[in-house]
Formats: sequence, structure tokens, C-alpha cells
Amino acid sequence: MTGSTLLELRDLGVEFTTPQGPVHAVAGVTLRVGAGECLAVVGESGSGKTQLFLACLGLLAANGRASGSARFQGQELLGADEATLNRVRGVGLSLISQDPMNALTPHLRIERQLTEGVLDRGLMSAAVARHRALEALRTVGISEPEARLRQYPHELSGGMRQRVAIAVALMTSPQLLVADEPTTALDVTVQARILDLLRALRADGLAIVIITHDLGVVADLADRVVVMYAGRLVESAPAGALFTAPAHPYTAGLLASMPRLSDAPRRRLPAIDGQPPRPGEVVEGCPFAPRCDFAAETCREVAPPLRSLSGEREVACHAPLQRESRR
Amino acid sequence: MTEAATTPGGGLWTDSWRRLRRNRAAVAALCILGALVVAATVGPWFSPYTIDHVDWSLGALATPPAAAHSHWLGTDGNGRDLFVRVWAGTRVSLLVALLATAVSLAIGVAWGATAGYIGGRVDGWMMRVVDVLYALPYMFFVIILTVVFGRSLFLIFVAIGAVGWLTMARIVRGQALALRHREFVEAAIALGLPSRRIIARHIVPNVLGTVIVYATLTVPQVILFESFLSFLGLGVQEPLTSLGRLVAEGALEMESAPWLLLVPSAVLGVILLCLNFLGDGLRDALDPRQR
Amino acid sequence: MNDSLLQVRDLVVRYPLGRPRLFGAQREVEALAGVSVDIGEGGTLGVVGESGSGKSTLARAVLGFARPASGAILWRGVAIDNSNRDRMRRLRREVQVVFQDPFGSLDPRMTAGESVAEALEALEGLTGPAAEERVVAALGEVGLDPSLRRRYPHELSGGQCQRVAIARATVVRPDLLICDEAVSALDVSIQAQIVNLLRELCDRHAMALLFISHNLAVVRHLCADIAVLREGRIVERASRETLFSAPQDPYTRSLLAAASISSMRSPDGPSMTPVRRPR
Repeated sequence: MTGSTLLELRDLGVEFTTPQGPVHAVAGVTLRVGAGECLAVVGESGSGKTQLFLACLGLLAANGRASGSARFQGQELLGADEATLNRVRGVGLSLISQDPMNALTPHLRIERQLTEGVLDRGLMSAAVARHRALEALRTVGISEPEARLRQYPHELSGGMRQRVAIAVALMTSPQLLVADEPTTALDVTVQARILDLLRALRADGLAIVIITHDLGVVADLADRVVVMYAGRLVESAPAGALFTAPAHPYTAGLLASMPRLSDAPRRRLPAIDGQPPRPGEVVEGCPFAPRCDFAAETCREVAPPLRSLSGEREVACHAPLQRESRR
Repeated sequence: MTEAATTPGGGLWTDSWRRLRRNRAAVAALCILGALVVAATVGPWFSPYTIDHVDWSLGALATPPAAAHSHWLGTDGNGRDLFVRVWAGTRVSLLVALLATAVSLAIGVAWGATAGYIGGRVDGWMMRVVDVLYALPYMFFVIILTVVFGRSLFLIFVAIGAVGWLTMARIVRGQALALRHREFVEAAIALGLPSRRIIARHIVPNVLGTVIVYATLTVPQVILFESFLSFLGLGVQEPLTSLGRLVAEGALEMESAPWLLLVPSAVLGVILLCLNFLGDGLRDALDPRQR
Repeated sequence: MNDSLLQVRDLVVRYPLGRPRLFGAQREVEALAGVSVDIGEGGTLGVVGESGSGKSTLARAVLGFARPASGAILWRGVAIDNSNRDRMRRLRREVQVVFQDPFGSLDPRMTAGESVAEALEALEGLTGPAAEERVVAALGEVGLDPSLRRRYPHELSGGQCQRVAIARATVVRPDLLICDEAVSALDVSIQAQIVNLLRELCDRHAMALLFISHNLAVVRHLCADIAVLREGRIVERASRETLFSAPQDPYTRSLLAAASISSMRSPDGPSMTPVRRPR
């Protein structure tokens, strides 16, 4: 699992200049993704999880600025010129955006959408591209690929569109696939199948970063999970450890507040009070302090740095949770 | 556990105004338009001449601009002072444009919002009426009106407004059709509100953005249309004048007295340009989703 | 069995497909193909299904937005008849709805307070200071500070907007609250808050709840009875306990299986009482 590092982010920050002043969407995130690894980035809206990866590919909005470092296979991406970025985009690092319903261009046939990226860049001939497209469609589990190539996006269901979006990302054989909320807009049975697909791709050696707000989705898929809150990385742990013994109160709260079929029915879901700070809202101290059951004075005054815990874990909390030991 | 407000509020209109202020082109356009309106109102007071005073004292008719005899912008072929006439013309043009636009707005929005919201056969019939009116030869209609009611400024408003509302109705209907399926409209229906309340309270305010923008784009069209009517002799009558008339007259004397064309054209051009910039700025400012 | 509030009998709803044709029959899709459900006073019914199952159509039909092709919808024993204006107005007072999109279900050009006040005006004819008082009380009941009533939807978060929508729906104390995917568009941590709020409101005001969702876990938490919808038909209907422990229909079983895969597998979950050790 710890092969070569594909993507390494060091102290990555994203700032947007707005008429109301600078908005810090992401502040000082450090993480790495190795070859063949699956990392889950979990956070709610406003946590900065999407902006983080848009910054890596130079896809931030015009008023956005990234700071720090983002290296893909050693190549620095921040501040790189278009030519360098284009060599990485799609080829090394593929990004699938949120919302499969709108990710495909409505007036182009599926074949065109699949082959556009490789043909425009002259990566292969038209015949080879078509062959690859068929292969990609088969890989993502779409039946009758020849017929599908001729269809338009609106003729496909949501689940199929998501698969096609994944196929488009696979056309260039990337080493790392970043999937932003790949299952959010889909039915639960379709979700399960997309997760199966991602699992199969990972078994084939593809490294995956899955960005989601739904912890349940990543349980079977991810090797590691990082949790983001208000633009900061608050916890990082191997998936199993995170679910059984979360160290950050936010993670624990999130896990507790999700109703699960395996739970006994309760009167009240243990919900986290309050709401996350708006993007760019300046907070003193720990951004989660207003909502934290365990907040102390230090928490409100001093922002907790990211500290290492045993077992390859990191947490940004002044007083991380310890599992109650029953002995 | 209560959630307190975390951001400063402000009305939707204050928000829009603030956004408009940030758009420099729109603000400049607004200032220039304001200056023109002021000039058109008070400008003539500074000049000793009136719009129909024929100045025989000059050597020749149609004298170029010169400070000497206080004809700052010269005189036209009949010896009338251009400065005063330009501002008089601006007043008339703006007045006609604003009133006619207001009329077409009122009719068009009501018609389009109702048709779009109700949908179905009612929508079909209402829009067929619009289609038929579109097909009528407009000039024919105006000429008949003129013959029946005689020429008057009021008539021009009616004539232009009566046609201008058609496009507005189409645009508003399209917007209303889209709005009808939005959840907040369904929520309003679920509250048992009667259709006319829903149209007035929910549909119209939400199409206002588009309507205002389109109105600022209609005003130039109306001014041009009025000048066309004047050119045909159906518009404002002498000694009243409009920018359109001045341009038309100036075009005839283009070679011998170019200022007669340049001055009113410049004023007209500036007004049209400003309205376009303002329209653009308003569209951006009025969209509540843009923060 | 408590007094029956809502009875749906063999409801069939069809939607036209494609453009209306001059000759030949209009093609139609059957969104609901004979659905029957019951909700009693204070009862809680969850309707689960995937997209295209017709669950939203059911809500729309009960609200009078979709005309049934056949079958009947009875409210307190009387058939809901779209053409009877008075009857519909009375119905509106007793049946209210919360939609999926928190931002979309509020008029972007009305403040939160105005949206809630509109409900009072439309359904109870109440305006003025008395209405203002009720609005403030309603917002407080859903956990919003009264100062928020002057905010516009785009100035509020998704969770706050949904609370406003709930305030608007419950200010007139309806007998039945229909929630059409009311928590699906919210962030996970906010979902729990809103689910708790709905539960609390229904308990406090003895409101019946018709909760439509694709999220089985949430439905299980809120509803005592559950109906599973597939392609316009109810494939299984059971109480909460029965459905989740011993599902009969294979489709229900596949839904449960998929939902379990998507939820965490950890056998005992995180410790419910984490202890903080001082560092």
C-alpha cells in the first residue's frame, strides 16, 4: 500500500479575493496519496474539500489563489504553466466533478465525450480512441457499449451517466482518480454498484481519492480517511481506526449523528448542534469549538495544530478523544 | 437551541444597489444619463433663444457653432438655435421613451406572467393573440390611429406602447413558465393561495430582474422608433422636436451643415450607450444568487 | 386503530409523455399503478423507493397537484376533489408540505418572516401584529433566532432555510405533515438536527407524518410504518420492526442490503461515551 507517492500536498492553502475581503477556503492542508491507495476526504459543504483538489489542477476560479505546495509525482503543480498542467490533467490525475447529471455535455454523443480529451491532445488516433472508449465503457460495466456510444446523455439514467463520467476519466489511463461526491445524486442501489466499480478499479491498481460528505460511503472503500472542517484538516487516520475510535470530536459527532440500520432505534439522534462556519468566516481558536461538547478555554483561543498520534494518525485537537478502555 | 444570525443582513434591493455601485461602467452610465437629464431640463434656460425663434440677424441661415451670437451649437436651416432644440428634443425623446416603456411594461408583464403561470390552453390563446398582433402591419395601425385621433404626443405613447408590450409579454411568459415549476411556487399553491396572488406575489417579483433589464434595452428601441415615425411625418409635430427628428433633418443637410447631424446623433448615441451599460449592470446586480 | 386521516385507495396517476399529438393517443407513463396507503391520527408513515418509484407523485397527488386517473384519496373520509375550491382550502390548512430543496422552496425575494407570515395569511387570514407574534413563535419553535426573520434565503444556510420551510408548514398546526425528501439535500450533521426537529414537532403537536425518502435509515428512525414503492406499486408494507428484521419482498431485501453496504460496517460503532484524557 505504501508504494511511491503520487500526490503530495504540503501546507496547501486556498484564498479567494472578494469585495468583502479575502476568504480562506482552505488553510494549511498536508496529505499524501500513494500509488494504489484509496484516500477518502470527508467534510461538509464549506469545508474546502473540493477547492483543495481544484487548486491542484489549476482549476480555481479567477479570484482564487493557492499557496503551499502540491506535487504530483514530484512535479510541482501550483503556479505551473498551462502546458505542464495539461500534461498532468487527465493523464496523471483525473478529476470527476460533482453531479453526474450535468457533468456530460448535453448535445454531444457519448463517443465524442469519451474521445474528445485524447483526440484533441493528439494522444492517439481516432480508431484507437474508439477502441479505448469501448473498453472504458466495458470496464465501468455499461452493457452494449457500441449502442451507447451513439447515444446522448439525456438518454441515460443517472447511474449510467456517472459511469460514463468515470469512463471519460479513465480514457487517459490516469494513475490517480479524484472523484468528487460520486454517489451523492444517486439511488442507494446504484450507489452500491458505483462503489463496487471503484473498488474494482482500485484492485486494478488505480489510486483513488474520494471526496464525500457521507462517511458511510467510504467505510468499505477507503484505506485512509482525512476529515476536513472549515478549511482545515482536523483528523487523518486509517479507515478502520477512524470508525471505531475517532479522535476528533467532530468526527465522533458525525459518526454518531448518522442513523444506521444496525442501530437500535433511539428517541433522538445525537446531532451536533449549530452549523459549520461560513467559508472564509474568520474564527479564533478551533473552528469547531462553538459546537464542541468538550470545548475548553484553550480551544476558543488557540487554534490546535495538527499532531501525530500513534498508529499513523493525526488530529488537530487540544484534547483528542480516547477510547474508553474497558479492562 | 437557537441559531443566531451570523452575517449582516440588508434588503434585497440594498444588496442589489450595492452590487450595482461596484460596476463602474454602470455607475458612469447612470451619472452621464443623470447629467443629460439635468442638462435637458435646465440647459435651455441659459440660452436667450427659444426652440422656434428664427434668428434673422445672422448673415446666413444654418450657421455653424460660434460663441459670438450665443448660438453655441449653431443654427439649423431655419435659423433656429440648435442648442435649445437639442435639449428640447432630448426631453421629448426621453419622455416618450419612458412613458411608452412603462405602458408596454405594465401590459406585457401582466399578460406574460398570467399566460406563463396558467399555462395550458389559456396560455396558448393568450400567446396566439400576441402572435396575431405581431403580424399586423404596424405602420398601418399607426397611420389609422393618427387619422382617427389626430396627431398628438399622447398618441405616440399609445402607439409605441401598444406594440412594445408584445416582446415583453413573450419574455415574461418564458420566465413565468420556468418559475411555475420551482418549488417555492408549488409551496405557495400548497398554501392555497389563489392564482392571482401567486402571480402578483411570487411570479412578478421574480421576473422583475429580467423585466428591468429588458426595459432599459427597450428605451433605445423606442427612441429610434419614435424617430422613424417622426421621419415619416407621423411623430411629434413642429415646433416640438425630438432627437429623431433632429437627426433626420440633420441627415438632409449633412454636407453643408454637418453639426446639425453630429450634435443630435452624439446625444442620441450617448443615451443609447449609457442605457446599454446600465442594462448590463442591472442584470448582474439584480440576480440574487450572485453574491 | 386510530381515526383514519388519510386513505389512498388504488391510486393511479399517469403523466403525459412527449408532445401532445394531433392524431392518435397521447403516450403516457404510469407513475402510480394502484397504490393504497393509510395514515391515522398522529401516525407516521414512511414511503421509501428509488428514483422513478413514484414516491414524489404520491405526495403531489395527496396535495392536489396531480390528477388521479383512477382510484381515490380520502381525507377524513371525504374524497379530495380538486375542483371544489372551498374543500381544497380547508384541506390545505390541514395538510402541509416540506420540500426537498431548502433554497428552492422559499421565494428568493421574500424574507424568512414574510414566507412564514404568508402561510398565516393564506390559511388563517391572520395579518398584522398578531401574525407577527405567531411568526416569531414559529421560528423559535424550529430553533431559529427571531432576528433571522428579516433574512433572505440566500443569506441563510441550507439547514436554516429548511427550518424556515418547516416553520411555514407547521405554523398553522396541520394535521398531516408531508415531507418530500426533506433532509436529502442537507449536510449530514444538519440532517440529524432536522430529523430530531421533525420528530419533536410531530410529537408535540400530534401531527401525522408522511415521510418520503430514499434513505432507509432515516425513515426507520422517524416512522412506525413503512411502505416500499417500486415502479409505481407498493411491494411491501409493514411496521418498522417487521420490515427491517424480516423483510418479505426480494426488492425490499435488496434495498436493505444496498443500504447496509453504504452504511458503516464497524461492528460496534464508535464508543458512545468517549472519554477525554487530559494531555
